[in-house]
Amino acid sequence: MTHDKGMGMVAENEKIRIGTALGGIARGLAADGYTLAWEWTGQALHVRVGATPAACADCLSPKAVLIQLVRGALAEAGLRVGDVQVYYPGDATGGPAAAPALTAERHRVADAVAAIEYCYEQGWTDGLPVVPPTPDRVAAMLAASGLAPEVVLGRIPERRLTIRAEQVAINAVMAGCLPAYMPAVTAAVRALLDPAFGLHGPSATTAGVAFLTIVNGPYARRIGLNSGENVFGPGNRANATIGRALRLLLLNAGAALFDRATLGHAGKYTYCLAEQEDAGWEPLHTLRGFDRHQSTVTVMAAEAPNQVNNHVANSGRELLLTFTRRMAAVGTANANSRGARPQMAVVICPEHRRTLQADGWSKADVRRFLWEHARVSVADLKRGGLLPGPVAPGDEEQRSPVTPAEADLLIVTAGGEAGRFSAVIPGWNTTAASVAVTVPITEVEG
Amino acid sequence: MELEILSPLTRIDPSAGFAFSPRPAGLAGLRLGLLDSGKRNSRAVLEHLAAAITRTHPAAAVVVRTKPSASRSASPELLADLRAQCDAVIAGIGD
Repeated sequence: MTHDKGMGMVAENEKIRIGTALGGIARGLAADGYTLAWEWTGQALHVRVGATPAACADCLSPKAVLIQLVRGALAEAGLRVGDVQVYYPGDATGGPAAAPALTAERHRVADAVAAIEYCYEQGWTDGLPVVPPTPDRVAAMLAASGLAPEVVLGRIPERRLTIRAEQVAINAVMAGCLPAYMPAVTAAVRALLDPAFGLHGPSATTAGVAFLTIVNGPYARRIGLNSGENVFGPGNRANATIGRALRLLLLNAGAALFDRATLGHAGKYTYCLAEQEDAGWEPLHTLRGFDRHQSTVTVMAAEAPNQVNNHVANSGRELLLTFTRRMAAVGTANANSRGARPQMAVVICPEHRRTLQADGWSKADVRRFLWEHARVSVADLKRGGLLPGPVAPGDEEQRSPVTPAEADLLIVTAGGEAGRFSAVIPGWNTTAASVAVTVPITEVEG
Repeated sequence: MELEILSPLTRIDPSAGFAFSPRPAGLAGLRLGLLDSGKRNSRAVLEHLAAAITRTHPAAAVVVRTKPSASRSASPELLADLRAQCDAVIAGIGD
């Protein structure tokens, strides 16, 4: 999955576009019981057609017709892929092996509306209606990601669960994702299943945390993710459904019975945003060591956003000092009695960002200042009973940072043009239990 | 129109299954392990329990180990250590 810079990026973008272009053909094949998988070498596109047990033997077009259909779909999308090779079930060619079939259990329902109710009855929803996961929709989702259904994206070892691309695609369909969103969903799933994230803990805990999902890079703009007005609010399909797909996957394929949250929070329905990267500040993924032109997904176990309202201050420093008071307010995992603390995210809105930029602050400067000044005093912890004993001389001055290191502050710029509301997002537990994980969006491999 | 939908569930991976070890016939003379989950006061509860057990069933040794995080599984190294040092281990989690 490593790509050399330049060509690698072109290849990544091309593959996402190929997957999208072939989605309609995949759906048509799936309606007749066939699967489609593909592989692009840079010089040739290899398209593999596989037969499911339900395949209609007379329905498969002659190979020459399918080649024309593929060429037509690619041309319509403005794509030039070189030679197109098509392999049919039973072909004794040296081409890639036939695409494996979908293996999920199949259920028959009367119609699409009955399917929605059926999913409710089975306990397969997050409480909202789901899109019926028909084999053709799931096949199109897989085709857009380029992943074969059996590809393992990771495991939840504590629950003896293995998550495969097929389950991810099914839940993504149910969430309402378009096939073009699938690379973000699969990258986020890989991040959640990374041992450093430690999915079992943040998805079982009584603490109400959700998966804050931040998408960076050109892909976020291409699929229309919102980074502006109402960024945590409703109304954008990509934000709403990518975040929802992760939760549905966990509910359905990740053993929801482990979730013992006392309160939970609304971000457990969906919690996905993009960053404003044309704002003159380093985007999150470059601060985390990725190339600016690489698209990435970052996931973090996070509480709900706490808004920071300051419509009055004229200086960046005053704004940041307002932030720090919210960041160090006792009662979160970032300001508790333990020495060990988790990461924290800060979302800076455009008006606040402009004030800071006018005063010469880079994002790295902001991060350093916030880390140095958001400090929890022993006196505050004692007043809250989080440490034993009365407040003693020196307790006000004895202060500790809200995150172990400066790099544990995830600074994102997003939000509407009007309004001076930013947000502080406390993390969960400690960095020993979970850390944010960033995964490049390079899933589309054919 | 009748349609077919796919189950979004996954199956438990049988290859990653757990098997229960045979239970010891008694505790007297055994090396007793305590696995502190890392939760606040976990160690105090386990030590209290160990003291109560060893009053009636004298142990050959009491070995205490602590997980780095209550939210994470014990590492393979920690489990190997417990297996080498103990005949029985008490573990638990709670607040």
